[in-house]
Amino acid sequence: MTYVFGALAAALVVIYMARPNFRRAVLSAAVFFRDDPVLGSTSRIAWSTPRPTPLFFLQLSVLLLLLLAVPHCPAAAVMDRSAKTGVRVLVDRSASMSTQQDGATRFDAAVAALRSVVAPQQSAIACFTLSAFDLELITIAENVTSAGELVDLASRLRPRPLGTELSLVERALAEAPQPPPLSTVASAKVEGGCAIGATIVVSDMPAPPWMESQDGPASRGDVWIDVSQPAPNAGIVDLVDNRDRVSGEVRGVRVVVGTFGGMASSNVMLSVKSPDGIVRAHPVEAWDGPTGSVDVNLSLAGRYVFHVNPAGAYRYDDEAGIDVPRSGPVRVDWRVPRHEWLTRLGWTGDRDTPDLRVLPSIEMLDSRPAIVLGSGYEPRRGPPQPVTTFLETSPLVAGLNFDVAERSGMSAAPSLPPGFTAVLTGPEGAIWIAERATPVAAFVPGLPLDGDGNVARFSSTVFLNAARWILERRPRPPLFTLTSPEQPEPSGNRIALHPGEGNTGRTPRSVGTFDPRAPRGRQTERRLPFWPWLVGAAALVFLAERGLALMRGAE
Amino acid sequence: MTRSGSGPSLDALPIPSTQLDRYRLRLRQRDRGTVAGAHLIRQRGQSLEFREFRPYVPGDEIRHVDWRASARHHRRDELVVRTFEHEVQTRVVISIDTRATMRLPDVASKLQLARWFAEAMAYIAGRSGDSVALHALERGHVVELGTTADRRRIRHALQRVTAPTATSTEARLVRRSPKGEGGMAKLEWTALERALPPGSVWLVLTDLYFAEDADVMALAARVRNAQQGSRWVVVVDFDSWPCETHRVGHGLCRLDGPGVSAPELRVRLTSGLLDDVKGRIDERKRRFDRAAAAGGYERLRWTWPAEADPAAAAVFREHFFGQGIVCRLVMPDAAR
Repeated sequence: MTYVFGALAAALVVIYMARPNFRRAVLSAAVFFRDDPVLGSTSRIAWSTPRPTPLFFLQLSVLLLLLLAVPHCPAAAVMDRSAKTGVRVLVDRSASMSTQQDGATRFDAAVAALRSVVAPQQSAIACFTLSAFDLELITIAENVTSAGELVDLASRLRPRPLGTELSLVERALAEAPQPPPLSTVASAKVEGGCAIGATIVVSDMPAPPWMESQDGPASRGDVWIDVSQPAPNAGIVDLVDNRDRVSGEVRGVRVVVGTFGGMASSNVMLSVKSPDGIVRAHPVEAWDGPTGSVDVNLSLAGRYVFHVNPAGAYRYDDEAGIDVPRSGPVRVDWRVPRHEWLTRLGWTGDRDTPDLRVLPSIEMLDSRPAIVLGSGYEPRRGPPQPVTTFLETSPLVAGLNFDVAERSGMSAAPSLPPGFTAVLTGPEGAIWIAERATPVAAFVPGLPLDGDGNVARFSSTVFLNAARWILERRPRPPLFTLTSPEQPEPSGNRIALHPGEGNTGRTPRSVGTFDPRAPRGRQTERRLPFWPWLVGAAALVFLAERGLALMRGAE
Repeated sequence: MTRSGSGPSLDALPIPSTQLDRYRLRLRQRDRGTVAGAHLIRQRGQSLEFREFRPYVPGDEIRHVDWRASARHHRRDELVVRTFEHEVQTRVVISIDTRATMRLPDVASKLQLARWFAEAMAYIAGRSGDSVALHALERGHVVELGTTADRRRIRHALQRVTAPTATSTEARLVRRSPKGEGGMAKLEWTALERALPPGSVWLVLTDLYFAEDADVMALAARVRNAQQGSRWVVVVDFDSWPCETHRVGHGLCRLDGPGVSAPELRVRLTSGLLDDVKGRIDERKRRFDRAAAAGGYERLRWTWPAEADPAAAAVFREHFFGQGIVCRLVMPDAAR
């Protein structure tokens, strides 16, 4: 249609450029000219620049307005039956697609839905591109020419015990071509030789809100097909470890269990198989909405396996196993005197791979976690040294008695390197306690004093605050890891408890109806239809042109 | 502004009846026996009306002797007779040329003005008690109007007479054979001869644009013959040449019009060429005059103004009372 109106506009210009070389003249006495010499053969048409008459400009305006309106007009695009478009298919193969519903998996339902959508529109589709997504988006096949082949390729895929990263889909759809200015196919994105005009997403996730945002994928004709149906399921949602803050030892785990899709929570049990082979069943308690929990004490090192019963429609959250490591003492590089404190604290000396270094001077400080000691405490009976400033939020001052601090005779820190923040200061800018977040380090006045006095307890608190603050911040091995595209199968501490995969109770929500003949951008135009204004303007100009022509004819 | 004349519909005569009522026909009485002078009778049905006394001469009917007047006469030996005016009903036949040349120019066609002229004359004649017939010059048929002064009836008759024929259709569709349009097909005079008794008046409304010289001469011969029966023949020559040539202008033209046949007639219109052609037309008309004149013939010229877009009604009003045409045919009615 665009070309038709373009050709008409060009023809109009040509018509207005052509001028008959001989103008027609009517005379009632024409017969008396018969005897006069007739001029020789001369071209009947003389060419000139377009005659700039108002009628010419009005007619040209009508055609140009229609030329602008046609690409945005859905009817015009529908008329162009010969234009075929390429279709990109994104199939969800995350773990949740293995959920059983109606005797088959959701993935089976996805393949069936895909077949029912693309097969009837085969004649309007030039080619397909098939991609699968979970935690990654992978192109499976490009330039697939038939719907049957596409469905066959899709049916060979299998769900993987991975989560769903919808941002990948969002990004892929956002990269889709914008509504083309002139033709449905002309500016379509080309993938593998297939000019993509529309995208079909098949998933068990409800269509996210960005699908229908203004100028979003739905407005460009992309379709989201949600094949899920609510199915009862109970499963492990999360494992939350309980560790010793200083040693990092795993003392227990909270197993969070969820029920979805109408599964009753009253009789959900969690069985725990401990390293010694004993299986204990615990009722899931502390229900808060759809989730409850069981606190399990991990007293033994070794493998614990948790199993939910009854399980439900989704299988990857039925069971989770973790290996609880045997924890050792804190390894300390002790560079100060009084080594007996290692024994007292239950630590062990280790200069090669220490968890903590205890250093006598600031010069020995490097990037490893360390406590730098000052010259110690000199408790005094005289007037106290007042605390001038303190960093209230710092854990290093937790539980300190400042009255004691003022009489403890703390030694001031020497010049501290950049990065240290004063936590507790005395008169004349004396820094008594300081911390550095990165690399983690702390300055304290000295080792704990012996005895049972206030200053001794104060000095122990200061030292242990610093030790705990540093040891808490050392990296700890996670209780478990999730499966990943590189290692998709659960094994050891790698489990498939991806968030949301076991939620089988979501309300399905699809968006859009697949129509490959519809021009992209039609729904945007439905909200802000511009082409009717153009057509209306063309109609008005046409009326004006006809009126002017009528007036001139009457004259 | 009027697009006049070429279609079957008839535009109204742009002169009100009240204005036409002030005129009657100025008919030249020739050899009317005892009656001399102008055409005087206004109404049919009147018989004899006293005109004057004159001395008795042998042959006068004795019953016309006015004895009382004779007694008062100064010569006792002389009788006086009463003389009377005759009731004379003049016959007027209006022939209208309906060929395609008469349907031009578009802005004020000759045929339109001929219709109005015929309507006005028929009305005035009817009001004068004269019998009127309309005659289609091309087709030859006659429509009798009698002495009616009903303008609707006159207009209806005119519509019948001037309805386009197969050969005199719209002037724009004129690429035909010369004989078919510019020329006069074989004329049928039988009906006209019956409708045109001796002593009658024959008005011929035409532009004399005949393609062939023979056609002109044929019409001239008919006019000449008509005069032999004491008929007065007035040819009203509708001459739109000034207007049409003004509209066409000069330059290269593909000339179209009645009588022009394919292939097209391409000419370069110049003042010289137009003067030549005008001279050719006038020469033909002079030859027509020479062939037609036999004592009772007059050719009155109705000339269009040299304007590109004259209004038909204005042209008609200006010429009907303002120039010599009407003065030759009608005169103010002293009785009104």
